[in-house]
Amino acid sequence: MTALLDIRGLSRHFGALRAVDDVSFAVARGEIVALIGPNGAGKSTCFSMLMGELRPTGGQILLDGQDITRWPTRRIWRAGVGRTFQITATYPSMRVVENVQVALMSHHRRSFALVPRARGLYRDRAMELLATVGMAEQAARPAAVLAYGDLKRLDLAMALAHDPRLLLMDEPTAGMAPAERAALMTLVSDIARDRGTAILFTEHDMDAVFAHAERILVLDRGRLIAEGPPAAIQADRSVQEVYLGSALEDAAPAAAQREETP
Amino acid sequence: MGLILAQLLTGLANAGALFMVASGLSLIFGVTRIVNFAHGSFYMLGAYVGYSLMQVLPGAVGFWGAILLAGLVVGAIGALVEMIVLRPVYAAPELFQLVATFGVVLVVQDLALMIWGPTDLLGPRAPGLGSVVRIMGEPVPQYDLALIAITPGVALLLWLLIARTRLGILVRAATQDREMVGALGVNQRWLFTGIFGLGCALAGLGGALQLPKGGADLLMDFTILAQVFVVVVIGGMGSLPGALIASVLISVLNVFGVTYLPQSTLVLTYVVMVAVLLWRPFGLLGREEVAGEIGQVGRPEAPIAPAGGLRVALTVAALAALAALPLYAGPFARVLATDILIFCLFAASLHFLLGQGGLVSFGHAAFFGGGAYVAALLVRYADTPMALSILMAPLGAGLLALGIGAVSLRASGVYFAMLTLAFGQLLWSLVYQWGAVTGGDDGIVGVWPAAWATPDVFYWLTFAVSVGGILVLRHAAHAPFGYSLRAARDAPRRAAATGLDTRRLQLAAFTFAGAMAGLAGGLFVYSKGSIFPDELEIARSFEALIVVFLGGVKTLSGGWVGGAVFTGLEDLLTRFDYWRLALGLTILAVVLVFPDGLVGGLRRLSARRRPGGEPDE
Amino acid sequence: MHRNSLLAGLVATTLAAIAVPAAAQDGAPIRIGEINHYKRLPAFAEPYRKGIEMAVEEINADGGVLGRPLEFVFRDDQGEPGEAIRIAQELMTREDTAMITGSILSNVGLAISSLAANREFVYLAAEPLADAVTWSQGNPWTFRLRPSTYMQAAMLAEQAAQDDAVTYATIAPNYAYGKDAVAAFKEVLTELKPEVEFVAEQWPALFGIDAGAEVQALERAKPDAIYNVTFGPDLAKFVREGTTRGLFEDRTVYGLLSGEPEYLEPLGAEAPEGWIVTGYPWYDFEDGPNAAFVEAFEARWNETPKNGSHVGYATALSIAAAIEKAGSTDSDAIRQAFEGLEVEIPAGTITYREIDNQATLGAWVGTTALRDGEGVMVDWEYKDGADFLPDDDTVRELRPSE
Repeated sequence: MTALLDIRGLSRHFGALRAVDDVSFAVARGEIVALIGPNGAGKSTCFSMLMGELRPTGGQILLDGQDITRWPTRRIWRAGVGRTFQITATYPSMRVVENVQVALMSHHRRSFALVPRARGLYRDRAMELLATVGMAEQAARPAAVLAYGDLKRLDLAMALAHDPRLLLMDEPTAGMAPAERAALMTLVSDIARDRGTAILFTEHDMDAVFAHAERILVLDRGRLIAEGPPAAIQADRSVQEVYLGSALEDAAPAAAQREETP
Repeated sequence: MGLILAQLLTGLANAGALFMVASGLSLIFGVTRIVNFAHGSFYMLGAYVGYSLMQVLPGAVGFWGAILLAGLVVGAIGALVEMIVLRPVYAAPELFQLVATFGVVLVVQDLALMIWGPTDLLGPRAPGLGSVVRIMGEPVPQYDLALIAITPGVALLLWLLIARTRLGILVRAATQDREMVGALGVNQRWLFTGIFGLGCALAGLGGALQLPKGGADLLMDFTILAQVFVVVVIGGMGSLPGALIASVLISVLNVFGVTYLPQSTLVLTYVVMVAVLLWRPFGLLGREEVAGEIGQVGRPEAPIAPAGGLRVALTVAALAALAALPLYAGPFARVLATDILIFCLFAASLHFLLGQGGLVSFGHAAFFGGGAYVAALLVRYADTPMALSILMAPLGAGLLALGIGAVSLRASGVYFAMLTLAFGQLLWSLVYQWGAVTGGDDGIVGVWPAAWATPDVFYWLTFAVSVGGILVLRHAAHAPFGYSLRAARDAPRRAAATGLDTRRLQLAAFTFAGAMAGLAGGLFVYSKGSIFPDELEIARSFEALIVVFLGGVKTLSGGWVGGAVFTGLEDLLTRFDYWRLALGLTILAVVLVFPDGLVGGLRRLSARRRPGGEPDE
Repeated sequence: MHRNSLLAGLVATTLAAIAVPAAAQDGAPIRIGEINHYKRLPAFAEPYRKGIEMAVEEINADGGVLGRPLEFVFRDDQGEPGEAIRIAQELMTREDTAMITGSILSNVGLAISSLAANREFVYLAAEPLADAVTWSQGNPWTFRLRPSTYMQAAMLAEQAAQDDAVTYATIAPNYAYGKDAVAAFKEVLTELKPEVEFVAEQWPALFGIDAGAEVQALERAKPDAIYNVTFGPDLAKFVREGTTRGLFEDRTVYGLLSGEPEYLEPLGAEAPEGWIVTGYPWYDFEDGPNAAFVEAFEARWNETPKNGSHVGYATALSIAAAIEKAGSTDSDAIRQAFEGLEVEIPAGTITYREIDNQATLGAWVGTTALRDGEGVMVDWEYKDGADFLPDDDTVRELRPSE
């Protein structure tokens, strides 16, 4: 049986800089995989290519055996790939529930519809999704006034709108308080298990990574240097050398951010 | 050979004043992100001030001194304008400042008329530079050679200022990354004031320098503005070398155009502009706009909701009163209401594009006028009945918008705006010059409503179509289309990552808004009985834009409210002698008091009255 | 709630602003609507307005029209046809005017003329020059006072035919007026002198002339004579570049309207010499009604008259004469009165021709010269407009609507 996501020799070069260099890995159905590495390792570039926002200079991306390498973002989404953003991307001019409704309208191919009022459209389903992420009570508030952690949850609810087979999460807990982080990651794991959604996420918080990832990929300077279950990665000498040293530094800004969050 | 060289020199001399004005505009935009409509007014002021000084100061020293002084005086006026009018509105939605500068345009026009009188002033010749030099047998005016020498000097000084001084570092930092200026610990307010003053000084200098080649007149502000926009856009907004290259390119091309394609004088410039922008959407040396940089600054708008019962009831009552107008008011009330209704629909269509789509168009009149011309041409060449031609107007305008939008949406932000401007001007110049088909500026006259449409019936038709159109636009904002459009505007990456085709959504919105503007145009031609290229002009596009900003971008009703207030105000004020001054000051007052626009401001006021209440629509 | 009150307030103010029209009364003034571009073209519109006001004062001092005082309602249209239409409708209805006049720009004139025909309301196009006003777009309700583009071009062409120049170059602003002016000049001149050849046609953008380039292009064609239609700031730039570069040396230049004080005065001491032009030489009228008008105007306004002042004065006289002849302020009566109306104006007796509603006012044709640092016309002669109109069959063909 083929892997859900199969990446073969993926590369992205900016002139002489090899942001992502010949990276290959696979994600199985329902699997939770973490992609880690120090800043500038190529994680975000990798994500951008997976989502069709950036064209690879080489390599292939296969989703369920189908080559999606040069597809536009929206088509990749239609093929069943959802994503959340490192810097949350929601629609501040709408209410929380409307944010999710817009994603549902897109899923049902009603984005261009002019006749119905959008307010009541797929509202029940949107409320279900909000309930899933624990945001039901805030449904009627403008997204612009949400606290940071709640924006992350909303972002997740939107990413789940079309019941994705694969969910890409770029630093899902960045900027959240520790208790919130654990809660969110637990929520994500539960969703993955309940729905059979595979999850590929990047993360700086090592607690979250080792607690929830079933398998870990380590990037450094564009190359994949290690791959394996958490225990093996923890023990890997080369990972400790190139990565864990700097992870301590990375923890500092994350802590600073945490304090800003109410 | 000699002729070609002489022509080249003529082009280079013409490029001088153009470069100075354009570099000022470009500099101001680069640092402050203000599209300065008043730039032509500062150019005009430079000419008038320079002229007055030359009358007082004697000899060659006096002549050149007057030019320099004119630059300084205009620069000081510019700095003052920035401090009084623009400073308070930097926090307003981006491009809102252009409303303020438009107010300045009106004020300056009337002040110049008051001070210098209506008669054109012929500039004095430069002392000692009044004759020609023979180069390869061709006469070349000495003053042309002086201009050719001065321009690189000014360009060099500007370059030194930007490349070698601390101010220059700040200017570059601000042009490339606005947040960095704050990070550098710079007093941003004074940087903005200084740059605005410098840009205006350059415009004033350009105005004074061209005196020996022409003079000062009251129309020169708009005449130069269109040219300068073209140059800045071709060169790339914010790029000084770009402005230099583009000034030379346009000036030299024009000189050869005059000789070898004398009929092309208007069209040529805009064809070049469109061609350059198709090849490089950000101009020759421009920088790509960061997505979302334009239009979505400041607090996000409050979520929209359908009107409640009381509001619906009141609206219905107001509409009923308006519909019954012919029954209780005089015939002129009907005429004025017709004009207001049509303009409201036009403004509402632009407001939809701007408010819902976040797309600032500088060429929306192309669709209003385009629709009007579609209807008028159908009548003229096919004797089409009224109902059908009014129906065809939005179709034609929509098709036009589809084409223009498909190309213009390759760019975003201000460059998108400039592309729409370029296409709008191209269309205008075609209609203006293609007299055999369009009647040129003699227009198409005698397009009156059918016999069954008595004045009252036509009023009701206008009422139904305009109000209906505005309601359709409003409904679209509440429909999935409106929501998806706002999604694409608020967070384009998120929108794309939830399957939305943002560009197609924007194109659909552009086409839809264009069609609605065309519908207004179709009504317009029958209400006036005629159509002229004026309705396609840049001035009409800006008028609509001003109205939308005045009404309030981040509200649902800003478009038609702005349209109604503006048209009513205009009708009232033009009865007075110095109405431009009055209108300009009124606009400035609105800008300063209601930076959210009229509707936004009123909403804020009423929210304040109800403590704790979240503002709603 | 607030938005509702806003809406209600808006409706209320709109209704208040457009309240009930004033009713006409006997003995009340006869009102005439006048629409012009007072802000867009003040240099042209203001002297014209002063001519009207002076005439109105004289008429009213003489007992008015039909025993009622004459009153003009002046309105600014921003130079836009759409605005002009709205104002015209207000003048026709709420202001209760007997007829309307005004406009300098041809497009505004054509727009009002179309409205006049539609509403069956008399419009006297005093200043617009476009041939279309009385010909291709002519209608029974529109009359024109000033000699049209065709008539003035024909006057210059007649002069040109007597000269031995064979090759001509033309320069005209790139819009309807410029094109009409060149076409008429070519047509009449070619008819009078078939051997002439037009070797270059230059079309600068209106108020956007690139004078240096235009002069080079004209020089390149090496014409014997030049026909100029540019005006305003374009003319100033053209004259300066042309003089500097020697374009006008040993060449006859024909300048349409270039002799009107509106165009000549701003040029001051740099006014071109030796151009053959149409214009208005107010400074050289020695006696007769023209001199009397100039004297009265200077006394009244403490400034010298322009061509527009004379036209404005004649406008008010024409309207007064028409209403007097009509015997009432009824639109159709005024229209019929205008047909064939004869009016005494400073320039002489003019007739509003029945065939095309064009008045036979002419223009002064002369040669420009410098006198005391000012451009003037010398050796001028008044040409009666009646002599420069096509024959009746041609006119009927040109006027399809009748």
